[in-house]
Amino acid sequence: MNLWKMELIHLFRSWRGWTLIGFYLLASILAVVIGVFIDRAYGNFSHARALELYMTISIVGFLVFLGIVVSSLAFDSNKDSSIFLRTRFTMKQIILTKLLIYVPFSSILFYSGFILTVIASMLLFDTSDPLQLDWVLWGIFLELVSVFFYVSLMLFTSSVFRGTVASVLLTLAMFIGVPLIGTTLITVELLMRGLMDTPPVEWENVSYVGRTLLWWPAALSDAQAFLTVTESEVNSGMISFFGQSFELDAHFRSKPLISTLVSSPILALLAWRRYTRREI
Amino acid sequence: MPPALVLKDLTKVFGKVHALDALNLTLEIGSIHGFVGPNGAGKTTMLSIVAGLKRKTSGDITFGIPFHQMMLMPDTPDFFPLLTAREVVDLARWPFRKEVDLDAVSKILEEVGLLDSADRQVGGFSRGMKQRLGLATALIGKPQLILLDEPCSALDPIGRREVLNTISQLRGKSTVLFSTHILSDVEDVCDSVTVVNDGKALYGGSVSGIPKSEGQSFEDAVLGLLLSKGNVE
Repeated sequence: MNLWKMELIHLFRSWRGWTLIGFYLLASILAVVIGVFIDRAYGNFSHARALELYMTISIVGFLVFLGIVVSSLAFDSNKDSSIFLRTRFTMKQIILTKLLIYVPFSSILFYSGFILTVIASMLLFDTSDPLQLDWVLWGIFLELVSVFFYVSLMLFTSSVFRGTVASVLLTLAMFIGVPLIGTTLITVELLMRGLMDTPPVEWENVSYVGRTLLWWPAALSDAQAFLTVTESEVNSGMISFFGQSFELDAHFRSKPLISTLVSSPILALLAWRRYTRREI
Repeated sequence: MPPALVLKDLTKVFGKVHALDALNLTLEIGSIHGFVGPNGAGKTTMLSIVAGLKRKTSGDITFGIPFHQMMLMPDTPDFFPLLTAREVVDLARWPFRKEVDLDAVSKILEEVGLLDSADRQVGGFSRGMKQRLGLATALIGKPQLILLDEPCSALDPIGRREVLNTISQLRGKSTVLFSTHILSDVEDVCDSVTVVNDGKALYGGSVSGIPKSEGQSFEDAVLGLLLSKGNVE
């Protein structure tokens, strides 16, 4: 028995691992089933749109993943079991084991669901406008880079509070709260400036708040849009994602890419400092 | 042979409260030392500082053994509820896996009276069973210094006797520092004792050397010491 086995037992002898698997599998099944209904009603449903549906629905799985990882990282919430760990293993061993199990597990689940949806949608839906592999690979690369920020932020929020609930709430507040508050502030700003007629796709160029929010590292996740780029989108130079149109530009999320690369090590170091200096 | 542990003027301050106030302690190798005092006397704080779980405010700690050869059992040990008792002890063996083989897991579970429950998940264990399991996890690596924080507090009389016997058998093999407020336990198994109150040592020395009047028991002598110097009601 070692820490790796312990974490795997923690995942698979409880609801945690199976629930995560269930959510990603469900996201894939739902994307295909909804696609079938839309295809029957309107026809010409493309496999790229099925993938967009999958990515939308799998956000629920991602939120569950956040909760599970953060609660696991908040191991000091139970002082006595924490003593068991801390007196036998180094902090580096404890944290690295958790991250090296949970983060790849979540990524594997996401991409397994993605591949499952690709296969099913290629069999069932319109494939006349094929996916562009080079863009898909670029999207996967940026998505993997964004994982660094998620991991660092989860580490940091887990290290701020000792309690599980407070840590999970703070993490969710950061991930959901920042975009929500940002969108509200953009709306207020555009109202105040009399620019409410601006189409949403232009908000991030017109609004000062929108421009600032582009530096929020989590915005790098918008690069998921590259996972569904099709041949016609390459020809038109525009991509459609979550009902919005963007200019197809490989550098369209370069600002959050920079802030991710800068902020992730800082957050990780701050978290490390807090973890190692915490008295229990 | 140098002592296993020497504490010199160890002090820990929480805000305005002196949890430990210039505490001195010397643990001879192979001895069993009792650390006695009422609730809030600073027993757990001292053990936590020695184990590296809390930082000292001032004072010196000198180990005569390698730091990794020390193990702490907290007063209310807790474990990951989905693991079985066998898995918990095996996990505790991991840092010592080169010196201790897998067979030792069953042996130590038998010693603490948990062999019948070895394959049960510990989430369903009573506090007493967790305390026995805590002792097993502390002993599995055969550490040279064992810190036990009130190891018998949740045990029934038979369990308490068994655990005290286990501790007694460690004499000469490991150095044991165990905190308790059950005075008879100290008299039964300890070679030396430190009596503390409000973070200050009131007495440090052999169990038999505690100042007492003729015919006075060890328990009465310790109570007398606490009442006279420690403001204990």
